[in-house]
Amino acid sequence: MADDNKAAETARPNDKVASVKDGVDSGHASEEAVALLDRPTPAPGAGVESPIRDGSMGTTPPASDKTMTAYWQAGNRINGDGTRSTDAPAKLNDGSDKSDPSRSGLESATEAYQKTLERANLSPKQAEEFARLTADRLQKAADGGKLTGTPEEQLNRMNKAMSDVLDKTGKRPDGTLENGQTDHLSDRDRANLVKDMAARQANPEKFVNQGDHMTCVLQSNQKQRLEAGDPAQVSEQIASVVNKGSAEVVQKDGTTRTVNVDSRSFMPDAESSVAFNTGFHGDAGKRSMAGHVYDALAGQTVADLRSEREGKPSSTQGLDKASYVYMAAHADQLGAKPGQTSTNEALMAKNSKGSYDFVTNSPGVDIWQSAHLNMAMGGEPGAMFASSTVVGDGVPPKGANYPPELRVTSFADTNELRTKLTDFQNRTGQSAQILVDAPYLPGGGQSGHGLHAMNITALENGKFKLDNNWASNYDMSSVDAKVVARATNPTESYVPSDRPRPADGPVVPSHPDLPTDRTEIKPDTGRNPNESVDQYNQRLLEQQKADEAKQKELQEKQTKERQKAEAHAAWMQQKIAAEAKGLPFTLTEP
Amino acid sequence: MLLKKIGVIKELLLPPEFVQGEQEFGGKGNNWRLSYHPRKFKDTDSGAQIILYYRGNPPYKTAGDAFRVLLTQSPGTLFEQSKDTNSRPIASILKNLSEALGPAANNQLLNHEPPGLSGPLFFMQKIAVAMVNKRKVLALTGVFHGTSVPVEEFEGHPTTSYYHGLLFDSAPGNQPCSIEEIVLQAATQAMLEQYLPSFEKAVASIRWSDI
Repeated sequence: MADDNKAAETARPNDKVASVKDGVDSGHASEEAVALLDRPTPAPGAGVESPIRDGSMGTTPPASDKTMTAYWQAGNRINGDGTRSTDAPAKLNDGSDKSDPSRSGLESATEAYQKTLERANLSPKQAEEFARLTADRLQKAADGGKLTGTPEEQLNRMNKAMSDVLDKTGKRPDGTLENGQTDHLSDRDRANLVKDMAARQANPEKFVNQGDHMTCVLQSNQKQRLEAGDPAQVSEQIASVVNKGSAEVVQKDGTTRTVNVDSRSFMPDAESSVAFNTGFHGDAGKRSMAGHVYDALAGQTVADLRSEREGKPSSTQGLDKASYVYMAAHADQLGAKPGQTSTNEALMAKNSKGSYDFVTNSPGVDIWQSAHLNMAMGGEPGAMFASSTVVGDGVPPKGANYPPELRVTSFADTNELRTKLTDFQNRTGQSAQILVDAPYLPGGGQSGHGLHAMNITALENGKFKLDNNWASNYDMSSVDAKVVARATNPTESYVPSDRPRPADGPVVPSHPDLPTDRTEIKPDTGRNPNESVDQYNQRLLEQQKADEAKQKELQEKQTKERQKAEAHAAWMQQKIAAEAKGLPFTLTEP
Repeated sequence: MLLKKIGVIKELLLPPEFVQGEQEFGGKGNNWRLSYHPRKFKDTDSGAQIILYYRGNPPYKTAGDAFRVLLTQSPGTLFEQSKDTNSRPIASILKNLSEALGPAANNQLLNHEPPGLSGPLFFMQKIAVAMVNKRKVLALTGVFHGTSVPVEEFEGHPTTSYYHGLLFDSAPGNQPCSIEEIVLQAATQAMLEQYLPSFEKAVASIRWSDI
């Protein structure tokens, strides 16, 4: 632990070791990975056949080829090593380029990607399935103009990121992460990470799961990012975290933050240390390594944004300087109390003594922080949806230092939700994140409150698809608007029958005990909506009195019955004794 | 306080000194965590609490099946740290249970790493199969602690809590196995012993909804 702390204290975001990054360590690590995994090791990008074969690195199409000319002008120039040129940003594919060269490039990229997945010990069949599904998904997104760059570029970048994970590219020669922290991941953990990442890229709906953790917001955010836009960036950030101990998160406007992540936070826990399998981490909804690392990164980003808004140092200045640290696991290492009902995750705040105080057993995110995370991660504007009864017009509270352009998409009813959601989907190719009151989802028990983030899609038939980050049996592929209304609008949730309602409309949304825009998105209070603290306590007291009275009555009844039985037994004994002696017995039976 | 309809528990009577604490629902499946504590403790972390708990999702099938098999055993002690020198038989059983035990699965019988980041999180003192009003339960007793804290430093350490809990199958015969729990948790061993009679009295008052 002391070593870990020391490593963390010396962490600096820009403390790069050029020689390591340039291949000294990665070459060594690559050989090691080959030996351990007993798989052939293609160089990153190997097997990827460039569709362009003419001179000047094949980047100058003939003027007659309008499609390719437009393609390169759009900034999609490829370097000789198969990577995308960085001198011009890639733009969203407008779907106009569906020519064969692109297809054949995708085939090659898919093959290379599959080989890397096999290096992580995925069976050839499973690797082929994940690679094919991912390529198909990317192509579909590109066809709809919802992908950054081309599908093959995306696959090549994913391939490189996963190779980097296996090869430990970027680690220091002494085995520590680039920012000086201890690397707690074994080769097996890295292979598990690649398998999970591949599964998530292939089928976000099934494999993006939070498991037994309070990270619905973070996983919902990841799911969105994997669905369309720049999914390869997710793999790259995860690879960066496990090799460097940090990752750069980039907003749409180019604002970049270096987020340093405590390496103990993404050391495997009970779920992510289990060898990846589609039953456990897919159907059963457990969180595997890629999900775990993403939670560690996104959770620390949330913590850093909190620091920024409060004008305090964040992990960008070094982990030892961070005012808040989020631990996705092993929070006991920073002083959080473990237990049978704890997930051992926590948001911790640095105190004046330099140690940490427990803040909450989750990333500690409300709806605005969730939207801020989305913005910082490069998400689409307005990607977070919530009922206007919770967020009003979707403008962040004044004085809380949120970026002025930050917005939550608010909706007054499910018709407005459908309209705005359809627009968002058409614009981005992504589902939206939506704030729900989990106990008011179908089967949720309707007891108390617990704000939860999940993903929602508007269907053509007027219904909605609610995709959860729990096990797949919690997903709702087609639900009516009233189900969505009930789960998203707390004022619709539950109104005790004895509570008067205004005759002309719903219960006043500003009632103090409903979940608000400042309520943390996690399991929450058992208090009924539309019930104040005093009312709630009074109800409990009355219930307690009634229960105790009932219990007393029951006990008195039992006592009387027992006394009666004892009296009868005594009478019977006397009778038997009298009869045995031949004496008359005249006592009345009780 | 009479509690009603909490999972498979139809009724449970808490001792009068217990009041309602933190209540959590939803967010990780159909989970709940309902905490009750003696009135005199405002900070439950440094006091004692009884918690009714459901993790929100069933354990993986193999772990759930192993849990059910274990509960077919006759009531009795399976392991006691202070008496059993050979922990192999119980370790073998626990290995199959794994996820069904929740965080308590990371114990010294299964995890032999020394104190440190990879060390066990729970010190298992006793495992028993018990009967609560015609329902078999798995009773665990032990100490939760930071993974870097050695046994001799448990007492008084801020990350330590003393635990006695019952795990039970809330839907016997149905798939998947669903495990609910009732937990007594205290900051010190003395406090755990002090409230153990209250806890046992509360447990004895349980009326199940399916029995």
